[in-house]
Amino acid sequence: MLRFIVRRLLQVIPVLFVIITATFFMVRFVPGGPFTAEKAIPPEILKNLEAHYGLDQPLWRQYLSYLGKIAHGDLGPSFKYSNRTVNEIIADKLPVSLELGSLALLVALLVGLPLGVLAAVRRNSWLDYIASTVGMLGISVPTFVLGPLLVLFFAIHLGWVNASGWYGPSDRVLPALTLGFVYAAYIMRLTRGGMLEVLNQDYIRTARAKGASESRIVLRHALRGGLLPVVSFLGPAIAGILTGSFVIETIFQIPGLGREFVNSAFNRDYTLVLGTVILYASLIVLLNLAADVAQVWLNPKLKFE
Amino acid sequence: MPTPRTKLCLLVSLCCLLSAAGCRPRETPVELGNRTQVLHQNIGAEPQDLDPPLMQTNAHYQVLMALYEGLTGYDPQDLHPVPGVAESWDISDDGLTYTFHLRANARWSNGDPVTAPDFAFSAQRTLTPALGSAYTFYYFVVRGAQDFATGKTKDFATVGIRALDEHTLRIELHQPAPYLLFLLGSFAWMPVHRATVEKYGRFDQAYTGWTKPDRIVTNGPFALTDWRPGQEITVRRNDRYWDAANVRLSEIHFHLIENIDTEERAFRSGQLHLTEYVPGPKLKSYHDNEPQLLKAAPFFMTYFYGFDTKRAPFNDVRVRQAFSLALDRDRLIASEPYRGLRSARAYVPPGVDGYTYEGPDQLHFDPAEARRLLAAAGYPDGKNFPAVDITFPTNGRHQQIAEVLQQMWQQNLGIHLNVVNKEGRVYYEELGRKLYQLARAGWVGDYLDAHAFLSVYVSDGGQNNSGWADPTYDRLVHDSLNERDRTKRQAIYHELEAIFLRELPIIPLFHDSSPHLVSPAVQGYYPNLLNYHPYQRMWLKHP
Repeated sequence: MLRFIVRRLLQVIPVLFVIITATFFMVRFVPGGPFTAEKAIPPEILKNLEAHYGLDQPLWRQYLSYLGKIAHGDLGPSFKYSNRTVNEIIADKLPVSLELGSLALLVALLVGLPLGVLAAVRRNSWLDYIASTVGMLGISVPTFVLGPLLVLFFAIHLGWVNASGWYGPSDRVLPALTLGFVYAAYIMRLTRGGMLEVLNQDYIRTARAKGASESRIVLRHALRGGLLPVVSFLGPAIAGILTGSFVIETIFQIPGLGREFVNSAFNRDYTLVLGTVILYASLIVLLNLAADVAQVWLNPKLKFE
Repeated sequence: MPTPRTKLCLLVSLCCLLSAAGCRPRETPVELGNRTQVLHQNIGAEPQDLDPPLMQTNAHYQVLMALYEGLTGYDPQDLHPVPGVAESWDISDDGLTYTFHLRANARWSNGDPVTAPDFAFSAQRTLTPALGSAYTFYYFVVRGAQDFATGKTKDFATVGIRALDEHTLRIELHQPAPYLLFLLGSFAWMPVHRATVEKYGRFDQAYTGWTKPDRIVTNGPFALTDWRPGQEITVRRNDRYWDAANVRLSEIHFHLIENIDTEERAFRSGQLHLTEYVPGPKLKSYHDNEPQLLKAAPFFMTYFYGFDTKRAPFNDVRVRQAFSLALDRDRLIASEPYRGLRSARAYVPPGVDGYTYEGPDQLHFDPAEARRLLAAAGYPDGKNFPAVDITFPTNGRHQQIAEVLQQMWQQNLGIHLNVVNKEGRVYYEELGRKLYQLARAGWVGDYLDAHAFLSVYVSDGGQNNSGWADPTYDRLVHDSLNERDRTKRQAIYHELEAIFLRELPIIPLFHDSSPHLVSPAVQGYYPNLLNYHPYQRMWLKHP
């Protein structure tokens, strides 16, 4: 297993190198720059600004200098938030996205898994229909509809929580529910599908024939196999959920990384684009690896190869 | 492993816990603020920095106005200049020399006196090319300032700004500027604390981090206490401010909500006293149901479409005039009825400093004349008219306006134009490089004088993207400043505007407004042309 993990980790280096190189040049070839604005900046001042950020150097030199910097863990200064570095911005905003993501994930798992299992066990019962309806709603109602609806009811109508912001614990409730609900729907549907497939397997029939209790069959024998599709979904999903959601962060004014990830491209904040891309790419690669390890652990038919 | 039943119980208890976390009856931030004189205002996007000469958008000026004070300030109602750090001033008979007498009791937030050398230092810093301030042009009426700012000389002694002693500052101009006192209150002229700036870097180095909350020293009615990125900037009353006794707000929380729908929901849930915008679709509802909350003040702004006058077909003035005459501006603004827009009858918004253009109305709707001019230019009924794009930056409102224009030109001139939206920076880049034919633009005056609009279209103006140049126009813009008599100066403005409206390098459409939602508790807030609201005169009424 260790060899497998080390080998996969070594593969990360060329992958990241390609991603960094492609992003570095792509973002530079987009028209408009960090200092392009409605009110044009006088050319002599533009020159000074470009010199300040090293943009007056040839592109290949900027690229080499950037590679040198990131080798030392320095992601450079931000263009938009000029008195902060990209490292500071990520250190500032990633924990917020992580907190929101973890809470949403908790909601998703606590709602999605039990509902999925119940729906599969009580197939075609009212429970199954309710679960399927919830699943369908979760997938088809976008967060930008659900979020404002929750705000309308809980923040404006009842006045229980703030409509926006990230101050106290109560500010976590609506965003976590909104984001979690979507993932809960996917998890519910995947769990239900996975469980149904497993519950029809021979070894389950054998367990039943041996007189094992229903709860033992479901939780001990079926769940492990039934969770396989969920686990492979969770790898990239966790990367997405943890690095923040642009929509949720915008609706609830949450100072997370998801908004920076999108806005940095609009702002042509070259260094912040690269910083967030590197972070996101690394997380995806690592969590996919974690999902693979979990798959092998859950499914005895697979081996580390 | 818990049974499904246990899990269900867990789930139910979690939901109860989540609801219990918030379902206590609570006092909203606005209600609490009214009791404790804490104002909650949204300013939209996050400022890049709180270093005055490096400001980027108007909303950030709100924070700077709380933190700093220039030589002059503004009357909250009509924005005429009032004494700021300077308690009085003398102006020489030729209007070229201003001598300011600074208050002896003006203090920085750390207790240091605010002195004339502080202002001279700040001016030198702003004008030094290495700093990269985009607002050096606010100084260009000062003798030698432009040469220094563009690097033609490195000797600041050649610039007409000098501290005569600790409390006397002299400013010499190369040409009279009736709006100088207004400019002196603006961010570009705000003083910075020399020792603090130099502690964290070279004086002409941008973004050294001296503006962080634990470092910054300012001289305004409020001092920075906290800056939570993406959340809010908090300022507290500066007890060392010379007029602190009359500042009634204890704190201001500048919220950084970028999304206008989120902002409106925050206002409705009692988190904000003041919003930066109002979502277009909500205007009607506020207008009909809660008109006391909606303040839509006329804004010192003209929304227009600009031509590339260097290339066909818009190098022919008849085509430009035809395009203008084919537009029914009243019908255009009727599509946004609750915003308080005013159809443009001229380029300069009416009523600023007593000036309203009263010459022949050249922006009226006359489709027959438009077709005649178009035919005379060689395009009868729009025949043979080349393919033209109407370009605008991606935005729902701009799109709606562009489509109305497209339809009017189609209907009244028989010309079909393509509506093309471009991502913001791509659009501005192409505008700057004149890679457009007919493009949406707008102008907000930097100071309350028609000159702020008319001077944009001089031949070598940095913001003149039209390619249009007229030596007579250039000369008149220059001469208008030499005329110290207001009536005579405004006569020159009339002359300028007549030329402009005849030549039409742009088509003025309407003068915008700045709609805001304002809590009834907010006192001392007056809607005005530039959306400037001096905080030292504001307070909150506690019901």
